[in-house]
Amino acid sequence: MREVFEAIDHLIDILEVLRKTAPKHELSDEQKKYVSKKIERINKKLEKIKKELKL
Amino acid sequence: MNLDLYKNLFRDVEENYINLNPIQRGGVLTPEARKAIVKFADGYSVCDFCLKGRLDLITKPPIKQFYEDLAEFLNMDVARITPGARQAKRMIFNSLEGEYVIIDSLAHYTSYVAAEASGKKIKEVENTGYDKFEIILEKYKEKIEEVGEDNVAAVLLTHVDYLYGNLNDAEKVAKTCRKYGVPFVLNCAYTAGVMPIDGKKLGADFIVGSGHKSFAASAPTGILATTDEYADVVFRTSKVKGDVSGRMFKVKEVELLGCTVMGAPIITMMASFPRVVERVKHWDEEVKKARYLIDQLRRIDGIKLLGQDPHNHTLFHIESLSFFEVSKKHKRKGFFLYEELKKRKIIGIQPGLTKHFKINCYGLTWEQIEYVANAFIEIAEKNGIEVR
Repeated sequence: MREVFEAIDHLIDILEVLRKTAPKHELSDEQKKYVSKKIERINKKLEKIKKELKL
Repeated sequence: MNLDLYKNLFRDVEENYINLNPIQRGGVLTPEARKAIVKFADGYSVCDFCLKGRLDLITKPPIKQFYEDLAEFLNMDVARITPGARQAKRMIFNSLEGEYVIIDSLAHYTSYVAAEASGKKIKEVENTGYDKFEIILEKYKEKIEEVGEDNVAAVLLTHVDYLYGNLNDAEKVAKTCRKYGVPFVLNCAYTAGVMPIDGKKLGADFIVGSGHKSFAASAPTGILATTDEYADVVFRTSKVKGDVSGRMFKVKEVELLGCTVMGAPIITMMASFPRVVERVKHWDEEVKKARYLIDQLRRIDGIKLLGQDPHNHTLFHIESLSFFEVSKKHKRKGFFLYEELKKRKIIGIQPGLTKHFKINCYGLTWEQIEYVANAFIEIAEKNGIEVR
């Protein structure tokens, strides 16, 4: 279940953006694109987990 | 017993606030460390492949290699991770013969207590007092002569002190130590991991560092790095033998009590290491940000920097007589500054303090630095303090 860890890793990357932009969290276009990509990847990982666990 | 207290322990300070806490900035984890901790949080998880009975000899994960790379990074011969800088100091003092530890008068309390725990006496080196508080480095010679060089176990200098963030000229003290043949301990808790440290160039026999203060690692992590000359002294191995069982533990290092830091502390330090190696190259930029923030704060009437000026570290001490005056009449008294900052999502200034407080801005972005400066200025103006 490497996917669980990989999903967490992507979440941690989002956390890092939150830290760098605290407290206002006004993301640049580049940061927005980066976070969107991360969310997309997390969703993919979650889908794989669902499949793996036959949910 | 209310066990509910321990459910859902939670902290989201760094995500929602700008944290200026003087002891916390250099220990903020890198994302790489945070990812690694998820995988290695279990108790003995780094010990899956402990084949030689000692933590520093484990090759998977690459702890053995890390110790070698850490020594190289600090330009020392041998390095070990300890449970905090304080333990590293205790280990050194405990290993060296001699009655006294000569110590700077702005050293962290753990330097004093580490000496005490090792049965040593203390001889302090004075500082210049208000308002620069610089250690009078020339006095080390005087102190060594006062107690007699044969009675000196070690000389300790705090590279950057925790009170004023003053950077000391270590080479100067190293030269004095060499002249008298006494071991020189440089406490780099606030420098190693944030600014470049070349132990050999600085003339240190021992470098002490802190993972949770300056190496983007979880607590408790300290560093003890030394030269080949002292490695066998401080990392001597066990000779004890059970009188009944005959058991011996020859591979174990006595001062480390065998193995020391495992799990989250060691794994976060290792995972952060590549970024730490890179970040020290940008120390000048961090100092530039600190100096900018200091200059902005000094636009506020009654605000003064204590310590070296221009400042050479991201940790600095502010005297703010104007905020102190406001606190006397304010309904929230000394807590008004903390509360006003918190309203603006800034924390780390100790609640209740207005006359003196410390800030560390290490690792903040320029936008965050600007935000902090503006917040202080806004609070000053709101309370009728003149801003230039």
